[in-house]
Amino acid sequence: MRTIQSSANCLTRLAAGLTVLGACLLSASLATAQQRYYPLDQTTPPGVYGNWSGYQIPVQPKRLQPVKIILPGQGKVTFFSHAGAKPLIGQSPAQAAIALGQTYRLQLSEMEEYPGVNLYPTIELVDILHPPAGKEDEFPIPVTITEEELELAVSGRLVTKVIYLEPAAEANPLLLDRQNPTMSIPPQQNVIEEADLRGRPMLILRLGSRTPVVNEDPAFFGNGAPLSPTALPRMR
Amino acid sequence: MKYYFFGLGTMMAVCVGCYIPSGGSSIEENKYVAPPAAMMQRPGPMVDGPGPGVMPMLSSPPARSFATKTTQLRFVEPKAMQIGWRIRDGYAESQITAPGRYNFTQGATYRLKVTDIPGREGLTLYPTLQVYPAHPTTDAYLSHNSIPIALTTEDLNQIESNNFVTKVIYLPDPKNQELAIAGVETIVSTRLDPGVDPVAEADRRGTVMVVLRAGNMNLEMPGADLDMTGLDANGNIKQVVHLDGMQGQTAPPMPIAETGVGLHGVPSPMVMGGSSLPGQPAMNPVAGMGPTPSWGMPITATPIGLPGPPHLPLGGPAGLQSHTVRNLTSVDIGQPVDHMLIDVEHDPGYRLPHPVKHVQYKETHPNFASGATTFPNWAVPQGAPQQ
Repeated sequence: MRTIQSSANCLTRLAAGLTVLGACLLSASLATAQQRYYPLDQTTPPGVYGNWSGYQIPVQPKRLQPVKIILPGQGKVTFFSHAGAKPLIGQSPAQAAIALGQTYRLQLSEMEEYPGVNLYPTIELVDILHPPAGKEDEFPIPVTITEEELELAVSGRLVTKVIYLEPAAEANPLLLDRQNPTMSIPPQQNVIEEADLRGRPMLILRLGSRTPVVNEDPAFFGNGAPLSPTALPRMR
Repeated sequence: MKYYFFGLGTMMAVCVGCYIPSGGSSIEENKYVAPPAAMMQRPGPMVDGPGPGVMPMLSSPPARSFATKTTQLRFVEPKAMQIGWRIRDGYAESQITAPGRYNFTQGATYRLKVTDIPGREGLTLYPTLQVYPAHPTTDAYLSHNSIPIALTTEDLNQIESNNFVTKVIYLPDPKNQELAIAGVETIVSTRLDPGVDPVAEADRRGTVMVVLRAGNMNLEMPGADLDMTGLDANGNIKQVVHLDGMQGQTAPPMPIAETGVGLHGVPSPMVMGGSSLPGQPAMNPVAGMGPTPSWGMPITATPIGLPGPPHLPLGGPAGLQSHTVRNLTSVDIGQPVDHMLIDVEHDPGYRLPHPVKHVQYKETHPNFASGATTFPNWAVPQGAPQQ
């Protein structure tokens, strides 16, 4: 009788343990099911993310966000607004102010490491910074382009790069004396999700090898989005 | 009693759940944490936008920039190869020298003319180039990259051996990408097992962007595809146009077939968006870009004055499963009219002569006996007796 009772007690404990384990697994599966869904990824057509950001983030119409393009060496950076407008031209690091939600075509030329090579990446601004009033030009979004990325683009690859703002609690308190750290992920992962998990996506850089030809569509150079030079540095 | 703790433990586990911290980030018990500010500023995903009773658009939707209505092809090798294409009444030759680039309007098929292939003197090829429309998965790539096309030595040997070569260039899906960075891949029919469709194989692996089909058929001999007999449909002598790009004569390629435009009333094998009117390039619109309305923007009003479903609390996931609005207003507006009768009257009325509805017309002619001769008065001979 004791043995049976003992066995019964053991069975009862085992059943209770399995029930608790099942409840735990159910809770864990529910928590997994409630993870965020990311409808955007690196294959999203250019402009869609920015369009959505325009809906989400209220900004004043004339509020432009400075962006600084940094090449690995010397080189010329040209910002286009549309095919008929005068572009902004500057030497790397070149800085210009662009509008939230818009996508701009750039030209990278006269790079000392790649003589004769012209690349036409795009930048899509999906969020803005909130610097002290009057000091907007001192806090641009740095877009660092590495030699590896240039080589990949020249070889016919498409490089999609998301620049994100790390949370203040996790930011490195030391001043960086080098380029912004860049992390590569395999194409099977969602680059926008990875950036969002690590901070706040600010800008998307897409770098490829397409260059304008004789019968180029004027839309190649943009749709006339606002583009403004900044005080730092001076641009032609 | 022995089942008491079992029931109590089970109830605790089901009702309270298990607390499993993950990633080192957790919320302390009995402490509320507000969602991020960005999530508090808006009612939830996909509930703001155009529509009645909704938040005004915070920024105008941008026009679809960098629309990839054209695909930039880069003819890589063999170098110094001349590429031309068919135009309206002939061929425009030597428009591109490899390596060279050209933007082809998407959603169309072109007839190329490849000449001056190094090491293949006298060989002229007339491949077709089918340029697929941009797909949302290829839009970013096509707006930033050119597509390389190369005729390798093996390809040329196969063509000269009377084989048909199909090269399919596609952008592999991320799960099928072999390299770390996005790039195109090519499937050649001659490297597949017999019976395997290279287009279907490429479509299984990713999104097709360009298909090049090449054989050794001469299309410029009499009776060939392009009517080089010199006669038009009426039998008149026709001028065949030949442009030479080496002489500075250029012309855009003329599509020999357009995607999305089939026979009258018959859809084409490949359906795509955009206009199918003559001269209008086909394209796949992207929702929310340019004139294409945003997809997924509900316009149904909810009690909170926003398009539903309301995401309450703000910042949380969408959880509303039912939203019912009942109209309990008493309504008595009659049945719809099936026959309408309208009477009108003028006072005084009109009175006019009635229209003629009967006319009688009668002619009376003189009647003469046989042999009698009569003359009009002006023709009566002078001196004749008056009748």
